Amino acid sequence: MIDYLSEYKEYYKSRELRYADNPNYKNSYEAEVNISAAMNSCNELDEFQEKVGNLPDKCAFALMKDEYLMEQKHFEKHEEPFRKLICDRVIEGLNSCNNVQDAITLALDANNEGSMAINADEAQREFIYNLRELDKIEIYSNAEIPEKYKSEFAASVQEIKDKMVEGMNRQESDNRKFNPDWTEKPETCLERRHRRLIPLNDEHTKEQLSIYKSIINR
Amino acid sequence: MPIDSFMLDPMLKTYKDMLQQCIDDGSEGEHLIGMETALKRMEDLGQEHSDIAAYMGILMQEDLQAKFSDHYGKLIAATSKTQSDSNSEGGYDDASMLQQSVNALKGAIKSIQDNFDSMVAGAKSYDPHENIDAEMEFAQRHLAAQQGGMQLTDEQVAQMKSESHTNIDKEIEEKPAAYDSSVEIELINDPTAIIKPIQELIDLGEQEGMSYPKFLRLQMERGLDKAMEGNGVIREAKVENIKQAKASAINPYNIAIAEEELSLFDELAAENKFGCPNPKELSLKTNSIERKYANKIAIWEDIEERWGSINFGILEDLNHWAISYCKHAPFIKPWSLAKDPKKAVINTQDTQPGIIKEKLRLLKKYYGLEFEDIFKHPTFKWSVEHFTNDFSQEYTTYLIEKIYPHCKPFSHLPSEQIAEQEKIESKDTPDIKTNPEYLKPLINQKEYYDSRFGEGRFESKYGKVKNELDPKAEVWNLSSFRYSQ
Repeated sequence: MIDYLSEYKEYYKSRELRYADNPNYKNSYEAEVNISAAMNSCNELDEFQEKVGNLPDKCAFALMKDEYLMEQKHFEKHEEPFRKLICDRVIEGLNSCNNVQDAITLALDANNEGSMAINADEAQREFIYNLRELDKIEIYSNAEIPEKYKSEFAASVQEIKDKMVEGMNRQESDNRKFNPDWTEKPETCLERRHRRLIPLNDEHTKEQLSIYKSIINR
Repeated sequence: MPIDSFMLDPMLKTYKDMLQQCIDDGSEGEHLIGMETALKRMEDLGQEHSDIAAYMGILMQEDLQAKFSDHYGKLIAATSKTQSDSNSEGGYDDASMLQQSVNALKGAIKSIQDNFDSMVAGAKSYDPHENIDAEMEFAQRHLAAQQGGMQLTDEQVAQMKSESHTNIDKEIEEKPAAYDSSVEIELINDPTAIIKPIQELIDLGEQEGMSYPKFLRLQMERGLDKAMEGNGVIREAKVENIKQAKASAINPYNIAIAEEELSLFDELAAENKFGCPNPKELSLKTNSIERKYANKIAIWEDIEERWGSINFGILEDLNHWAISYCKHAPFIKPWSLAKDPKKAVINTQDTQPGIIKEKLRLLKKYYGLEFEDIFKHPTFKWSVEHFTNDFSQEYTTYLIEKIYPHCKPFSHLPSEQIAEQEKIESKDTPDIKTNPEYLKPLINQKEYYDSRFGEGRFESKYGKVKNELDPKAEVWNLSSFRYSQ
């Protein structure tokens, strides 16, 4: 004859142990301790349905909270404000959730909105993609060449600049389909999440940024 | 003009399939209606818009995909609750709950297997003729919709289709698997590693004397729940990433990233009481590894491109400048592509030294590297050690000693040097320019590919690795290349 009550007590104890000693899962551990305590307080299996209340939902909320807290800390460390904002919204919103489905909807909405913000932010990387073109402008503008080629080189420089402006216009037009207020702000590339993709040092990056901004007039 | 069905149908198929599945399962109620409403709106918008980017923008602004998913999730949750409530009516029924779990796992195996079989069948039945026909019909419709765009007649499209079919058939004769990825799809998506732990769970659940709480406890304690999430597959993928990174040998950082990710996996697995890394911890720490190397990779690639022997790097420019003095220059690329090839050749002779000087100035400005420093730099040594340098040691030495000294603004290559270059370029003299091991990167990739997908698979798909250049230079020996010392 199986002693279901003892087996459930063992099961909930195991759930506790899953998160014990893991500093990243303090809330989950506490929630599991509470549900395990509720189970341990039962003398009959039937008592659990009443005693458990919404403790299972609280375990789900606690797990979500712990994992979003981990992500929040990670994105704070890496200076990713838009990714961190998703975490902030979920962690805050969990306080108002009544059930697991609400929590799922909360996470879905926060991630969807967050994705749009991340895409809009990463669309600011046009400056980075144009670094080689900025080089070409400098090379063709300064190269020591016979006089007869200077107008041709000047024309090449102008063509590159025109393409940059065209690229900026296209980027703004495409992004405004998702976000009507989107404007190219190249200085955004100085922020760490974008800056790590730029090979030049700070002084040279700022120099090239200034040139790029004057070309696209932003 | 609506979004073409060629693009719209694949986008909406998943949602249509999910909705149909719910209808077939007998679902009803507000959430089913919610799914239908969201999907109908997506379909209607697809008819109202002609621009795919604008369409995607509206979908996101109206949150339609999220709304659909939200209703779907709530429908599934409501269905589960109904089942769970009916279980608890009439007292605790352990056998029924255990059976339900085991049945769900069996259903999961069936679903995984069915998806896999469908994927492989799709790959095996892929018809490149049919696909190119659909692409051309789409192009015809798309162009017709553009104001002032090129119009293709049915006869023109038929002609293009026929030519494409002929080209495809010719390609398949040489590369039988050129349009067949069934082997790769079968191997990459092989569900065995995922199904095995699920089956182990089913076996556990069907053991004599098993109870539902014991089943739940044991699966956790044995890490079977984590295994079912694909931990074994993840580790295997990380092992493959290392092999791929080494076979490609693009830079040392890609290899370092792959190796560190595997070490991280094993470290977290060892620390975990159930022997499996926590997925969230693994994902975040993996992300940190990638971020650590992002700037190093950007710098490596920038330096490499600046001095490189391809993509208009300094060494390639020197090579081009030297060739431009040869008689045959107007008849080869890039000059042959110009409106006036002879004028283009003169242009290169006259302007390239000034351009190279500027490129060297920027290399020094940004990285403190002079021309001579290129050959001591880790990016250069890596290119030699991993056979990605196009030029032989002999030709590189020649460029440094015989071409570079003359490559100054307003100067030209002296006639004796032109004669030497003509000799190097001549088809009648052995090729001492090309790196004799230039095929090694491709061979390494072929070996890796065949080791993964079967002997001969690389050639069947991508064609034979042909030595078309017949280089005769000695292989690189960095220890004897004084410019690297």
